Amino acid sequence: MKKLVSMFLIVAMLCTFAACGSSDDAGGTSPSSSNPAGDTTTDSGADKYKIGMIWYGNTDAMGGTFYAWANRAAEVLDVELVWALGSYTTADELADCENLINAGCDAIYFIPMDTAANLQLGNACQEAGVFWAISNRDIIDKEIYEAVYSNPYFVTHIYDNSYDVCKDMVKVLADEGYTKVCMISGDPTDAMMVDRNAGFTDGCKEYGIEILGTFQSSTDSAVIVDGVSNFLTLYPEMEAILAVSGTAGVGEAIISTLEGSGKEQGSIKVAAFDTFSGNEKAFEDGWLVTSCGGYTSECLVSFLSLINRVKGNEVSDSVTTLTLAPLLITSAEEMEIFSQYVDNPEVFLYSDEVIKSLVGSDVTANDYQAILDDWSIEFVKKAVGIE
Amino acid sequence: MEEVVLRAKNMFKDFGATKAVVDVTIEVCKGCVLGLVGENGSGKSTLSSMIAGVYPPTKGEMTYLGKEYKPKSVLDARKSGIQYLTQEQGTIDGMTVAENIFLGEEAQFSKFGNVNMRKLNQHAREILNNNGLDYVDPSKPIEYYSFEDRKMIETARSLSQQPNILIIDETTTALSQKGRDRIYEIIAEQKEKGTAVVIISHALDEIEMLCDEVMVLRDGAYIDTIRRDEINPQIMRQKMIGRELGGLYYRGDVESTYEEEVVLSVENLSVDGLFSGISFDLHKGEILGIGGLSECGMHELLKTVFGAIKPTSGTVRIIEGGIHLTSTAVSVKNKVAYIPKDRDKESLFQATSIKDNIVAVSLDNLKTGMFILPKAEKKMANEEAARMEVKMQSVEQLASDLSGGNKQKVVLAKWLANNTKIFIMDCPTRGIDVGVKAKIYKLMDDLKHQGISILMVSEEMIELIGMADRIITIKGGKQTREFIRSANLTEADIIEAIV
Amino acid sequence: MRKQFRKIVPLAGLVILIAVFSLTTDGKFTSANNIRSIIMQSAIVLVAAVGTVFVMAHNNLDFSLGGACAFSSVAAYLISGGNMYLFFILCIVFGVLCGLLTSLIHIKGRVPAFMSGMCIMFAGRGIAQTAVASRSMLLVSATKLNNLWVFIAIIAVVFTIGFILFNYTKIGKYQKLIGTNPKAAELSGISISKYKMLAFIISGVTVGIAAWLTIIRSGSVSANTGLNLEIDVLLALSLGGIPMSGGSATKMRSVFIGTLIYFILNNGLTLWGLNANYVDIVKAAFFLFTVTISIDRSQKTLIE
Repeated sequence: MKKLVSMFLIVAMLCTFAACGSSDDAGGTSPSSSNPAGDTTTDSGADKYKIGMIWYGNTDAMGGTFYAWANRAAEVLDVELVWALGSYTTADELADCENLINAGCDAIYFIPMDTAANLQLGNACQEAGVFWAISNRDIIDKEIYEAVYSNPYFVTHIYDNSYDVCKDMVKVLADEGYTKVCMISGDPTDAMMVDRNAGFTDGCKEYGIEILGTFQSSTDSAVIVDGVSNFLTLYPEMEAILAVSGTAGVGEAIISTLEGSGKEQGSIKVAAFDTFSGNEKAFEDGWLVTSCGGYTSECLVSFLSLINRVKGNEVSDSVTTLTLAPLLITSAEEMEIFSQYVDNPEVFLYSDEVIKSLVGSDVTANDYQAILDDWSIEFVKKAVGIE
Repeated sequence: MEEVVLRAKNMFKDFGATKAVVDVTIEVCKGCVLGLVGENGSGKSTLSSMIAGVYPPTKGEMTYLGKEYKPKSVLDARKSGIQYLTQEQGTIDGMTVAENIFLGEEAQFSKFGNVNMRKLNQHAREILNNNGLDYVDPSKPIEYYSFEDRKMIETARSLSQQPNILIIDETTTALSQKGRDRIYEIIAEQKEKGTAVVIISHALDEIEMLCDEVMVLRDGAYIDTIRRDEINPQIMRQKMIGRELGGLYYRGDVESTYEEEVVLSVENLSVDGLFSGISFDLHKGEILGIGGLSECGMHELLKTVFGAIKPTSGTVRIIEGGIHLTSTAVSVKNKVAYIPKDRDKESLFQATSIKDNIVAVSLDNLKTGMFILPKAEKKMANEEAARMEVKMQSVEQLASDLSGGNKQKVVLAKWLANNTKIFIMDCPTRGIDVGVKAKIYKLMDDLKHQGISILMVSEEMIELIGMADRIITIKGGKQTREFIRSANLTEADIIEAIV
Repeated sequence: MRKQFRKIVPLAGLVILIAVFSLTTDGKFTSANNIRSIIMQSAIVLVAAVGTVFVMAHNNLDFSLGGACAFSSVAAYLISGGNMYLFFILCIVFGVLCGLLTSLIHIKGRVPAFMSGMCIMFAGRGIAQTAVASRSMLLVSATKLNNLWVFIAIIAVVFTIGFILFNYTKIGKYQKLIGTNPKAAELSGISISKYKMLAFIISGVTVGIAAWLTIIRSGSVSANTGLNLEIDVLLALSLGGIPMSGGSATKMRSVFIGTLIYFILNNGLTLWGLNANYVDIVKAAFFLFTVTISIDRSQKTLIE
């Protein structure tokens, strides 16, 4: 008997807890039975548009930053956000999508963890008559591309243009006079990596740099350590290493292997995609000459364009397809600026005015592309008010 | 004539709602051996515990040596001269033999707080020698010695304190024959010295042999006192359960009767380290008993015959069909049953319904097409439980809720449900009350007359003599002798062959 | 009385959840679409759990599920080349293979089952990751089966067969007896190895079917296929009140109750739009609460 009562109490507690918790959130629903302290904007569910956000998590740099930016933008634009965090597989993302749609969302934003996610979530959205947009991934499978692009509810597709950045990174090396490099390549079935691989190889061809050896990157740092050690042994004439990715410990592994190799500090150069911890020191020590990163703008723009569409503004009668080139970092100073202001949840690089300006009946696809094109270290400096 | 040493009058003991002892009066006389008998729960242990100071009575008075007696603890009682020996371990690990003997009395050997070990050991040595324990070294840690030796050391300790009353509560159950004999000796010696002895035991033959008087308790109350010449197991049993046992306890006939046909043949069966070269034939309608000391290998022998232990060499064969029993599954399929000695751990599914226990081996027989229907299970369970007269609320009750005797009934029901032709039983009446024991013996007799064969191991000689057509003895893992059922067969005969 | 209480807790939990969400979401929870979503989301775990019950009943835990799911999908994909029927059969075949391997390592190698399960899990996941890295494994045709009726049919068939096998045949009944007292089971003529292996094979069948359903939902085989499946199944079954050490009290209904609680909680919290940071805390609190009450401490003392 006692247990039964205490159980009811706890569940009741959970309900009120949840109710309170959710009405704090910029995007919370207030269960109709308990609506605290006179919300005179009335039927808070009815008039505000609801956007479903399927997001991988808000504890890391990029995740936390977009979480903060999106919530702020939602406040400014007077829309409600419903978040579903933590999904890494298509099945889970699909479940989140279905639940969000059932929760009454008018649009869904997500990053497809796997190409098939586009198809599955796209279909679910189409069935429910709900708009959707993605970012950070290209769609390389033809069948899926066609199916998805003919989906009338697909609003925006923004992905990284890594190709140009990679070429730029190679150019940095070429300008310093290096001609012999080794490459850590990417998974050829991953859309992102295909571009980067091509960017590096084409860049080398264009700038006359020879690629002595290659191995495929892995999230297992042991593979990286072994690979780099092999490079050092097999190719004593190697002057630099190109890496398609630095995240998930890869960057750290490369640098630590070099440091432990006994070679003079900075005698081998590294050009690594993405940022990683110890970046700054690597630049200062002379190992790292160029790096790149910062994609959160993609997420924001795709998200804003989705809100725009939901509010009734059709920017194009087909899918708006845009690309973003990540920031190119070529010095320790630039690295410092990057670490401090980019992917920092407390720094809002886009002001409320800018955000408001991107949603309205007069906005065009070019406006969005312009924002993306503007993305550079200078922009960051200006946004935070440095020189 | 007989001087009363202790009188406990109108003793009552309640444990919560349970009334363990209800208005019992007992007198213990100098130089007398008094036996206390009763079924489990009759109050005999509780009564003696109160005398020994384990806990105070709820009501009642005790007079000891003419004065009021209210012991505060066992130690208190000991100091007054009442020693209490039980079934469990009474010595303490982590101390030497000598330390155990003088536990609580080290003061007499210490000066300024230091114990004089040499003196301690010396005195301990004396005590050990006086009690036939010359081979024990007082300076060794007590764990060095076996359970039985430790029990003997404990006894020596008790005796060295020159008790007026010696209470022996089921102490002999856990001892070997040698140990038991030693205890009997001690009792005789103490009786001579004038010590009053109270002995509690389930082994009625032991009681018959030792006691001058026997007091019977039932359900916490006093029933009767049986004197000297009238003491015999049958009368004791009758009074313990309170009704006529319907004439017989063991089998009524005194001749070995079984058919010619051999149903099971064991040839040269050996398991390394346990037993070797065992061979025998089990006949149709025969009860074949196997006797021996606890560690002689007979328990493992039964498991090997059943197929639960793989033999190092030798065969076990069912004559009909020439099937070798190589696994328990094969045995069960061929209608062989095994009833383990450790009921709770090896034969009963505790947290499971009585029904599921009973039908466990008969599932193949219950099938309707491919499936086993609950109705069929329930029917079988109810029938078999009724046949065995299991005391329960319903077959859906959990088996763990039953008393020891009823649990064994369920186990038997399980095997009967499978139309067992050959029973392999290991101590089938161990730890069971007299009433249920009688039922089981009757069942065995009935089965025998139906042509079912029983292979039985027992540590109770009397049981073997009472029930078996033939008895095979095992000593140190080897077969020694075979005895045929006869009215003249005595325990002594068998014991000779097993020690 | 206590025992009765313990038995109802999971069901009561489910009923309360349904009541709470129905009343507080303006009808969103009970809408046809939402119910449909819940059914389809829970199908994978539900199906895999049916087989796992057999293993848990005889007092083992199957940790191979995730790896087996991944491996089965990959192997079946490579061989079937997109034919959905063949894919289905092969998923089951490879699922059974994983189950057999797990049980063989456990029985012959005398390795505790949870360890052999983990071996298969790592091996399976490793093979899948390597295979997936070398080529894309899209199976768009699979997504055509992503509809409610296929899922309901599969759930109904799997659960019914599982229920019947578990409660009305030796295969199921013996699992419970082995779980309660393996020694007594052996001495009652039950071949422990044989029946343990059967349990793992059944678990293999259901994980194969679960793999198939996963591909239908995902449209492709990825390195993460089946990720955490064994944990999800274990959590779901715990929520459903299944005894951790198996035995006679194991019930097939734990599958339904537990899985539904798990997915309804997930769904309901999203419908509420609960602040994302609190979701995990609420889920954890609910899990702990239900499981603590359901754990049968009395079972521990019975088999001393």
